[in-house]
Amino acid sequence: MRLRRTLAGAPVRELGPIYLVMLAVVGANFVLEPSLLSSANITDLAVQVAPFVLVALAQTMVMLLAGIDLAVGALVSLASTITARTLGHGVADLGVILAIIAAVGCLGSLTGLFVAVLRVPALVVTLATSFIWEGVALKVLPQAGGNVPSGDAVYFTGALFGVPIVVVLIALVLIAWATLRRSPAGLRLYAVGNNPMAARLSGLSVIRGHMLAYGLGAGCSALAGIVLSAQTSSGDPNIGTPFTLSSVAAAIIGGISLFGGRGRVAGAVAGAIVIGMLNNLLLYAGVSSFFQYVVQGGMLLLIVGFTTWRRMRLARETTSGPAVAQATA
Amino acid sequence: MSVQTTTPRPALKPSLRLRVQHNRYTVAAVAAAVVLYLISLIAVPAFVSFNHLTSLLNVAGILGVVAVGAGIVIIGGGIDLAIPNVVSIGIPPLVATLAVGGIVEGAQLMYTSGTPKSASPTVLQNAANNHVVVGLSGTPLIWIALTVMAVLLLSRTSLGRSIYAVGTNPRVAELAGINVRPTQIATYVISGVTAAIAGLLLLGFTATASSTVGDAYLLPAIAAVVLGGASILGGQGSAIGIAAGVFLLNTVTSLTTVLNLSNADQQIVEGGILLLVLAAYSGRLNLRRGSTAPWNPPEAATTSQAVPEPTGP
Repeated sequence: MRLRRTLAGAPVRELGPIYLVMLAVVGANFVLEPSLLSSANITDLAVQVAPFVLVALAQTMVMLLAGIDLAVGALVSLASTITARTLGHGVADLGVILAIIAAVGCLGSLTGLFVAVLRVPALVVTLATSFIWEGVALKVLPQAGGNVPSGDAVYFTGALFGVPIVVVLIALVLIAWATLRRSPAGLRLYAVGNNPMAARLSGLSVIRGHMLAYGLGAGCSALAGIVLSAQTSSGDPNIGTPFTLSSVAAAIIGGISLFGGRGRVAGAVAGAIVIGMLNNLLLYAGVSSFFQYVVQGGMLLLIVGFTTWRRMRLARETTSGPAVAQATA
Repeated sequence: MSVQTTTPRPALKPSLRLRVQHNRYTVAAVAAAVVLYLISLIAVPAFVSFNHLTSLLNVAGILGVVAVGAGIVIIGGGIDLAIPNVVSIGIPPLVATLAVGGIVEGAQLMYTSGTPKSASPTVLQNAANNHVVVGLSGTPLIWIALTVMAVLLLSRTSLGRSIYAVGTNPRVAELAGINVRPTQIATYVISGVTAAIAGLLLLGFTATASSTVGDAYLLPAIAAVVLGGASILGGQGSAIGIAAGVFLLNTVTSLTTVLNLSNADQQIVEGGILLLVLAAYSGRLNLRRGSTAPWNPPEAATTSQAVPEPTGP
């Protein structure tokens, strides 16, 4: 019953705080830099923040299972290097791209299997796998380089009816997720994340839930890596590194619970946009690069504090019993 | 403290066997470190020298110092994401760590004006580079001193016992009258101090202050703590084990370096070893607090016949 309520709960109230913050940050960008208010510049901003949104989605999948994925950055790098090394076969490249996403997704599923079977905290498992994937990425492409043919890059950098293809891709991912979430597999994912023991006692497979979530997450990371490669027309074995920890922050700001089984993917998208635009904001505000980390850290604390406070109040108002204990304990 | 002969109680001092069993992850970590070191001696005959051991310790020192602090935070459950939020506004510890990390980094950048400072005080350079005792520079000596202090703190003081209690189960610790929040804050402060010491040593070692050079130590430090037998969920681990984890990690690095493995292969090998160790330690979660971490039902439930085998929907 509670799961149903979480899924069908009032999305506006749940997502309200983070979308308010997002509007504020985006609005502040436009106020400080009015020239951004042209359709070309807005498109640029969307394209620029798109890969990070995908990585935040990847992190969200794993966090819904009460895990945390320190390997997202390494997976992005891995996909980026493979892309830069393998493309160049004309039309067949579309198949290659799909194969890369599938292969990296399988790596994620393997990680999920490891976490579920050995019952080791995801934090350390993904720390270990991040070393391995990073190493493999360095083997594929020791330093930034390689080549993405412009004929392939256009799949990701082009526009469809004036809308950048990456934005369309993210929309497709979100639609696919919305469909999945209502399917038995999606319900299982939330159930396993919410309470693995209860899920198992109800006959749900914890292992399959983990493999699905980690696999989907790795697929999103791979897509982000491919998009980055297309945008820069090259591969880079270190390109994903900065995404790892900031994706966790984006998901948390977006209301994805660290305890699993709670939160909406749409929130994580907003969280990613907030973090992505925060950097721009500091730039436009003329904050010197020395202060940038300080201001960024301080604003992050403020935002997390605000959204968490709102969410705790919401939890107190709308639910009772164990939910309150979970949200406030 | 002498146990009076008239007391009917059994001896308060646990037997050696019990102590080994209680500290089995520490024992395992130390054993793994020693075995791996011996293997490296066999594999690379050039390693059989006192100089190699001291240079290994010299290099390991900085990571060792960072790991002491990180280990205490982890034992206190600070990185455990399953811990209920103890920070008053409900910010999970990890996020707070991230944000505070950003602030500290920024402060460093301001101090160094963004460019690496080349002038480091000679006293630091001496401490980091000059051999103080038998080929050891100041760094490993500080590491050893901090490890001894951590051993004493964790096992001989009430703060140390509180850290274990809070790491094991903050709710129960609170009910038992422990001030949970101050205890956790104390672990972060300790970790901050050790990180600062490591930063100073690094400053002496590289003779340049750069604000990003410390990033490279965060994740390896967590890896070393885990290799050293501490549970990432908190409540378990020891300073000796953590030191062993650091030694182990550095032995692997020196081995892969001397075997001429590329940076890439080195990372793969280190990640693989970490996975192996995790697999070896994985049974632990069933031994302790079976109700929170694993999704296998606790003893009573598994034995009941009514539990269906997991099947797909």
